[in-house]
Amino acid sequence: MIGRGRTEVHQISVSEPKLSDHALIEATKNGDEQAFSEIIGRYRNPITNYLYRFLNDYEEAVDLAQETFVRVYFAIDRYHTGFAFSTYIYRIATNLAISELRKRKRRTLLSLTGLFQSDPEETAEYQPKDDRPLPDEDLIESEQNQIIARAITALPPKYRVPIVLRDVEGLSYEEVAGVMGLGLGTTKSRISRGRALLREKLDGHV
Amino acid sequence: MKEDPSENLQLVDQQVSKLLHNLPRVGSPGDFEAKVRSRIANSKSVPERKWLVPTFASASLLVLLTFGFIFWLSGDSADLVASQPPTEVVDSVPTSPFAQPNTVVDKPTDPTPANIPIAGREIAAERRRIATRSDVRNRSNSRPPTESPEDGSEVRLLTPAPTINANVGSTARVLLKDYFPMIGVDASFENNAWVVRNVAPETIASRIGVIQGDVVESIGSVRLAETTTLDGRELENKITVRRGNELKTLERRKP
Repeated sequence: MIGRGRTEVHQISVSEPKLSDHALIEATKNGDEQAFSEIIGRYRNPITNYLYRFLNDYEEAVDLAQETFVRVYFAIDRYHTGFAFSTYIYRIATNLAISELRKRKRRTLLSLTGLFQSDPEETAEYQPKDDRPLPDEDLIESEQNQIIARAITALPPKYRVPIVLRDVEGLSYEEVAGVMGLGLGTTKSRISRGRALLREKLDGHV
Repeated sequence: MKEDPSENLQLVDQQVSKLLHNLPRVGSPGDFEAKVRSRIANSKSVPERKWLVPTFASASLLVLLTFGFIFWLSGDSADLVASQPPTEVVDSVPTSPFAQPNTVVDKPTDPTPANIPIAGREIAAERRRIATRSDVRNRSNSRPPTESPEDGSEVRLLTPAPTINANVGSTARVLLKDYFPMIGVDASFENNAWVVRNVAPETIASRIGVIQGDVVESIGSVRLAETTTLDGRELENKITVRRGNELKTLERRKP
């Protein structure tokens, strides 16, 4: 009887189009897989876009976005509804992206160490530029967009995270501060500093 | 009219912000959710191995403790082996020069591990190595070492029997290295002299005032060399030691 009642509640909840994130989370906690699908549907594109702009590597971005949802799924019982879900999921994605950057750094170091005595031109072969075409023809960016994307990637992560969240994803300052776990003042300062760095990098292109 | 540079920068910042905002948005592939579901299913099928860490940690701790205990026991049992009573009883052994008749026998503490604090184990082992007067008395009377003496005091022989140059008759000679333990001294021959390394408490040597660092010059009237042996006639109640630059003669006070 209880199970049936619960199922009914979930069916109603999933059919409700404007259900809050928290309600969907609660439903997922209670075993409603459709609710989780709804969460994925809401955040799959923003998270993929965020990670793509952060890493400038589409396949890696998709992979990390999927990993983000897996993490959310397994940590859903520990999620507190006192925080906005968007902040929570962006934070997970950010942590994964920063870990990926560290891995890349290690790989670069290893490859450079391994090829210490080799020709520098050969070394370059081990760190190829990511020239893979994007899956959609529409996504082929103009030259200017590529320059901007490279400039973003060249920013240190402490500035890259708030810049992408604020200027690309359009999150509010408060939300960015929540994702980064920083105060509002520090977040604004980093965004400002990040923009200044971008301005320097894009000098002549903008 | 002059342009405000900060205003100019602000404008550029806004322009940068706008550029970023206008970047084309990238979407996720069509099989995105299917792949997420697949990953979740794969993760669920892998059994959680969180228990491995505490189990491994506790197993390691257990092994360490076991080895520690075995090591501790082996160290202690080595001491105990060393403290076994001698199987050989010498017929004629000179009595310790400082032996007092009817003296209460020093009763060594029980050498079981529980009764010896770890910090004091070394000292306790040292004490067990040192012969007590009662050993000598027991041996001189040709009594079994664990037998009670006539005065009723308990005697326990805890030191190995000294190597004695058993001689015919009553003139058996004793090596210095065996003599010193009899009076409670741990001495070693260094730089052509017998240097006291340790003095056991409540022994003849400690009572007459021998202390660590003393250089034993002579016993009775015999000047000491490395291989000096003493016989009953030479074992007198007098030891001459060099303490710093001072020569001291230590002897048992007669009652």
